Amino acid sequence: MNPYSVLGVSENASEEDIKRAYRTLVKKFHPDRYAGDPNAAAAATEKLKQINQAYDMLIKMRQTGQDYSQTYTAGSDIARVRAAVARGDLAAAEMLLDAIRDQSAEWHYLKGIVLLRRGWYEGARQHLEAAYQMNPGNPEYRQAWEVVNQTGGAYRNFFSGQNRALNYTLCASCAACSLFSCCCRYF
Amino acid sequence: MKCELKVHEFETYKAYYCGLCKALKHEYTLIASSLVSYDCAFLYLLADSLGSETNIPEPCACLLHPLEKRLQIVTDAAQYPAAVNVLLAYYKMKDDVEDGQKFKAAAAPFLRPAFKKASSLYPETAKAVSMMQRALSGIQEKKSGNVDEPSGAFGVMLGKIFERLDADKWEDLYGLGYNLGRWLYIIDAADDLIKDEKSGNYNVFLNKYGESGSPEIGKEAEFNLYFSLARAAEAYGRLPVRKNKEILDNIFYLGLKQKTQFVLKGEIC
Repeated sequence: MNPYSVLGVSENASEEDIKRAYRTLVKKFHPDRYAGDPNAAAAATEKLKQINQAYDMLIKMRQTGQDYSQTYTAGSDIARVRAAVARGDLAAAEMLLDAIRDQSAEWHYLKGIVLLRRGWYEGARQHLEAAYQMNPGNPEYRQAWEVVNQTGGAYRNFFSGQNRALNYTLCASCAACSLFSCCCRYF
Repeated sequence: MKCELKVHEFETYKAYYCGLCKALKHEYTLIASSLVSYDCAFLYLLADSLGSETNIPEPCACLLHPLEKRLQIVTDAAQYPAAVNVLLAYYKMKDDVEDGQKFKAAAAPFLRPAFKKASSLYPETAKAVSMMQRALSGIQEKKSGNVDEPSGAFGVMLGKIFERLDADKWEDLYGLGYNLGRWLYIIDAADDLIKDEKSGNYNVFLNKYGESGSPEIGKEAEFNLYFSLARAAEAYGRLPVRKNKEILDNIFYLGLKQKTQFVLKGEIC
């Protein structure tokens, strides 16, 4: 396997280029896009595996193993979920989450974020509410819960009356938050 | 949707509608007036608005409206929406026949050749539509009460239909189509509650809450409808719209919102 051709980047691509190519590809091959067609879904899963291998190889090569081991392979199951969400591989994050028995506040929070980015808003709302109720003091959970509750209202107020300039976005309201900052992307 | 459009804007919308009808007639030799959908007219309006060619509405001689002065907009951007219209109409017909409306099969001899042509022109889109159909019937069979499942499947299909409009902007177009599809599915489910309760047809909210009178349905529908619209509007805001901006703004920021308010209040728009 040539990791460069799998990701469709040149050999002198920057780390940012690699990440961008990776994010686009994991979106293209997300299983949701192949629901209803088992053969295509299996092929997509296989492809995702290759993409992940290629990405791992290239990032490892560029970071000489140091940051890589911290953010990806090491740590608890929950840390691996976070790393998967952060790099945009929602399918992997969801598989890891479903294998965890202990449904802590953090588990609900991550499940909610994954569902939000997958476009499953009702499930996202339920899990983010659960995380917030289990641990209302956590600013990350609170912020996620607020954004979920305020987005619809912001849309309803927008463009009514004099306010005709586009000045609300989900992204702007959550830019401070590490995982949330990229929630505007669809898988 | 039309409630919020100004008269001249609605005229433009109708001109796209008539242009689409013309494309269906021309490309698929369909006497299409009964098949043209407002959704696909919207797709045409959006497709053309992303392009930079200027177009001049021309008078439309329409057998169905001989006394009305109508305009039509005919551009190449109509090709793809016309194919989508054919694909959706074909599956809708198959669905209706399976649901027991056998008389709908009368359209099959006309639709089948058109379906074949549209599928060969846009095989990926044809696949997206058939996959969605299969996914939805699976969800229906297991009587899912999870609104994310059917609305998500419908959203993915519309996302895949929209993403083809502009290769550079496929992510935003996908997001727009996905969220609009989610909204469409849920608004229909909310609108059909009482009808489905009487007929016993599948309705995701009835499967979750048991009866159409449950106040929880309104809450769940409201959150999901407005959240989906917010995301759709966001994705729309990132698109390079070159014409018809006022019409599109009104649809995304006012028309869809108003339609949602009406359905949630149980009124007819």
